[in-house]
Amino acid sequence: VRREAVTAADVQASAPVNGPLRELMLPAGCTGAVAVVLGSLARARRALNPRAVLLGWGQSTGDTTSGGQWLRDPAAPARRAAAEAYRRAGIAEAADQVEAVELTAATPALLAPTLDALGLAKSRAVVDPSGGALSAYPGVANGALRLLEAVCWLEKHGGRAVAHSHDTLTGCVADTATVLVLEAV
Amino acid sequence: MANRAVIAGVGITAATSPRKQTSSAGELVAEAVWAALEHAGAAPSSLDGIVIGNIDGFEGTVLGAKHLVRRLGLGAELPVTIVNTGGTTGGNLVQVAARQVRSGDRRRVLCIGGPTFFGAQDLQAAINTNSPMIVEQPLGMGAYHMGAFYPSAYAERFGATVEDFAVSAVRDHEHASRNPYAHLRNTLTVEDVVAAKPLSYPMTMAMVCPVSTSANALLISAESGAGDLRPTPVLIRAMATSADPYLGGGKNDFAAMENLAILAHKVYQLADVRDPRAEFDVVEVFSPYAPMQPMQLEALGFAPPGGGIELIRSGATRIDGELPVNLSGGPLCTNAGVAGELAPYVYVALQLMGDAPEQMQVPGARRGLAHGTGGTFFQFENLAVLERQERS
Repeated sequence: VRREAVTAADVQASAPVNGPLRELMLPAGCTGAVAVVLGSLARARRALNPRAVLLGWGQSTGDTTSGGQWLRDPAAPARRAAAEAYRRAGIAEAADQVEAVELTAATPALLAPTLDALGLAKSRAVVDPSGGALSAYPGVANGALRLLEAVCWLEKHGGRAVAHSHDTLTGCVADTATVLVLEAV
Repeated sequence: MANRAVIAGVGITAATSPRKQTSSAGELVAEAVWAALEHAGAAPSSLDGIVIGNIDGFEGTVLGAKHLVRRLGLGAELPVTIVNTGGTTGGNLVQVAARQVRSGDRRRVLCIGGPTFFGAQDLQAAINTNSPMIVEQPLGMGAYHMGAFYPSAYAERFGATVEDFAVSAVRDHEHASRNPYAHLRNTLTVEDVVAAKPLSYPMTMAMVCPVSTSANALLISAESGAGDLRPTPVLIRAMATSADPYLGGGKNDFAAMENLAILAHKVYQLADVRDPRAEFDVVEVFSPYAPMQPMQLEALGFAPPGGGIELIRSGATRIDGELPVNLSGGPLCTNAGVAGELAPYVYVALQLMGDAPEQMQVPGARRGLAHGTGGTFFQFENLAVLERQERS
């Protein structure tokens, strides 16, 4: 939805939303739908154009809102989801083994904690090569869009990528997190 | 399929109306969860997942479930899967949990059925908004009018009368009177049911379920990880779901439950059931409107088309009959939302474990069938074949 490069001044000049937040700091809400076809590896070998291998998946939900964890440690669900996904994917050191990440940071304040939770804070992984949720955020289809963008990146560059999303409908913005680990075919 | 999934623990609370309920939703759920863990002999630390759900429109979308599970004393980190499939949520909790275990994603998962209708001021008003907006709502049609589509079509084809449908209500109440967890435990005669307030022909008030509050929980475990648990494990041998179109016009026939028949065919094939009438020892079907039960029994292959009422009248579905059905009293006597839809699985598991309350236990029950359904026209069905796994 947002395709133009912007400067810090453009961001400051965009519409104020709440407190220090400006419109261009927030996800670009839009409509959109994504469909994904999943198959076993055996079936996928017979597919005409298999696009990526899903190596690992993880999902986690935070504590109650009244517990306060969502403020103190907003990426705790993302950290647990990542640990589960990396375990299933057999990834011991994400920082060395993941080349790109498509993540969902509902505000700029969540970017650093989320990257850290995914184990990618000190890595050379490309962050949000598509522009991430700031370029297009189709509501409940966001998770599938992050997956699609990660797959597209893998098709060009190869290697491994991570797609991260969270559910903004059922609690505080980072309360339910999903992490997928993908590998180029 | 990597693993087999078993039911390895059951927890259930007594039921009553929202008005008379003295426990909060949190207290009811906690009671059911800890009862299931105690029944199983499982340590909370051995869990690696929770599956819980809500019914949209009756309670906050997933917030209740999400916040309830963090107040159970099971910690704040267990992965939670939230199921939100309307009326069928309770049955689908089992479908989701069992698939998680079968795939190897999880080893031991708690399925939690909460008391959905807790505190609903006017459940009837909420449920009436479920009917499709274009035609049905402007006609003044509410939930039970739509429930009456089936029996009126059935009456038209097979000549069934109000007195015939009443037999099903009488039988469920007779069973509920032996179930200490049931909400309505009074017995009724055919005359009582026929004389009750007429709602939508051919249904009377006594053929429609109450609004109940209760909670229940099931522990679903990998078969290989259930060796240390106390109850005789109950294998989830086969299960599936099936859906019809949303609008009533998408139904081919209201005098037969065709969607359920298609689902039964599939599930029986998976479980290698060839003669259902002979092969099941205990059955729980979801029939919140009494006339649904004979039609469901037909769709499930227990009676020929038009023969469901005769099957019930013959006594075959009583506790001492050859095919005991709804020994819990079914949703006609206790219907607590998500907990109500999970209940058929809960009761069949208890029967197969041999752990049902003595006065409602079928001696030696080995194989059972649990069914759930939901939707304005009951378009969505879920079904499972459960089997007792003797320990050597």
